[in-house]
Amino acid sequence: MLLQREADFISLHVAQHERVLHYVLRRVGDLEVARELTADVFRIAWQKSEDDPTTEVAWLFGVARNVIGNEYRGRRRRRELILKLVEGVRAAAEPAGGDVEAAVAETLGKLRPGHREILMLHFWDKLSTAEMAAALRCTENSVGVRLHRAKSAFAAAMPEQLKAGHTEKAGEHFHGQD
Amino acid sequence: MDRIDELLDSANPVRPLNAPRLDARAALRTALEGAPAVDAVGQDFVGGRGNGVFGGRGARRPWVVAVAVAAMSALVVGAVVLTQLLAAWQPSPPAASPSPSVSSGVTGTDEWRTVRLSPTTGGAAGPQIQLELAPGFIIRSDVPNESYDSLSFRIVRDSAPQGVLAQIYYGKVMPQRDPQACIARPEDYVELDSVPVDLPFNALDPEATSPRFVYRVVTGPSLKASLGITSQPPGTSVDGCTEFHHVESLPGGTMLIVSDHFQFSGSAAGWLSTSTTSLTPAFASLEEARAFMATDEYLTYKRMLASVRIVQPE
Repeated sequence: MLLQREADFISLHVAQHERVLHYVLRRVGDLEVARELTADVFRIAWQKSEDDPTTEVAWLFGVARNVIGNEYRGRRRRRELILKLVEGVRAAAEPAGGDVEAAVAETLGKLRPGHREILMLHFWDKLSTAEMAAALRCTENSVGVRLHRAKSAFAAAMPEQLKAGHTEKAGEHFHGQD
Repeated sequence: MDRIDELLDSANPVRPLNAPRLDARAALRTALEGAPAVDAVGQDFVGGRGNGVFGGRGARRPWVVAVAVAAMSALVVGAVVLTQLLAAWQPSPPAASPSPSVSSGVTGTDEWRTVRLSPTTGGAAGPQIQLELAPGFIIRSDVPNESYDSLSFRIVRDSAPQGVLAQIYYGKVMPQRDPQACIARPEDYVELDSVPVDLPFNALDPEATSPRFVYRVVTGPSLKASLGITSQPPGTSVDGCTEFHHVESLPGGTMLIVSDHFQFSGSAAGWLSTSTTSLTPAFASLEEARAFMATDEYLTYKRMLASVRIVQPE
């Protein structure tokens, strides 16, 4: 018979593995690397479960963020991540729409890391306000404020080509819900 | 959804249509057996959870791993059920949303009295806000329009010197805010008084403490009193972008604000902005601010604000 801890961990893995994998993949742009880093996240969760079991995806995302940070230390390595982000977005976009999506990714790459992260958590990872607050270790109100600031920063940084037009095409892509 | 939302949403590189599907069992085995080394989890996240738990690869215990992997298959179905049960567990169900409009203003009398603030539309089924009101003070509705779906009142002194003491807001978390308010830098303060108040709060929020009335003095170019109810732990600075005092994440996804630094922006209905209008005084020194606590004026403000309760209709 399994210990409760093991049952809980397997349950956590079944429930959250895909979300964490996608979170990592969106940031590293390489499936194999994402698989390895996601494995690291759950290994850490397993080790941690001995003392303080958790079922919170926000906690897993927090670990994932630091695991990615460990993997991509240094300015040059972090720049690689930005480039992979752009490449990944362009590759994922439909053939006719790659430029706009890539421009969005390039704009994200120009933002401060905190702004970029909260926009990705909200629009790509689909975390709730409470989950973002837990992942970022701040209040839900702060999440709202940070998100607002990040959107303002994005609006200020985005090129003219994004500011007008392309509405229909962007609308066509709006089916990506996680 | 605005233009920026559209753009960011549509640029998501991992969507259901293109997301990779992996064998979860193999992934679990990888997680437990063969993951590459990670030196440490960043300090910014680990915080007080205990770094020793997050050792490197050498910290793994193979016998435990083996047990978990061997039993994984047998438990998958059970785990799914467990997951569903966990997912079904939620804090207490949402309270009824306040109706958009409120009862007419409570007029002043010569004595302290207990008032209940309740919607005039939608019946009296939802929670009410109750407080003690001092002589010379009245309550005014602060809802900007009938479509606004939260409750907001001002405590106003109707006799000289007239002015707004505080706003009481009860409704959904994260109403829209005035972007201009976000320009403000965090402000430093000194907390001079704190009294527990009997209000619900989200005990699961690690950053929340039991709600309490606080008297702070915001420092900076001048010293200004700041009164309200907060569920935030004592600190030394407050983000000028958010309201100064609030109780967040009440059951039902609502929040309560009792604060002298929080108002609607009259020029943009539905938007909330930090306020500069208040009866609370400014001081020349901290000694003066401390002396204010002994005045009838302060004790009156404190009694009113600390008396705020969320009650069910009788």
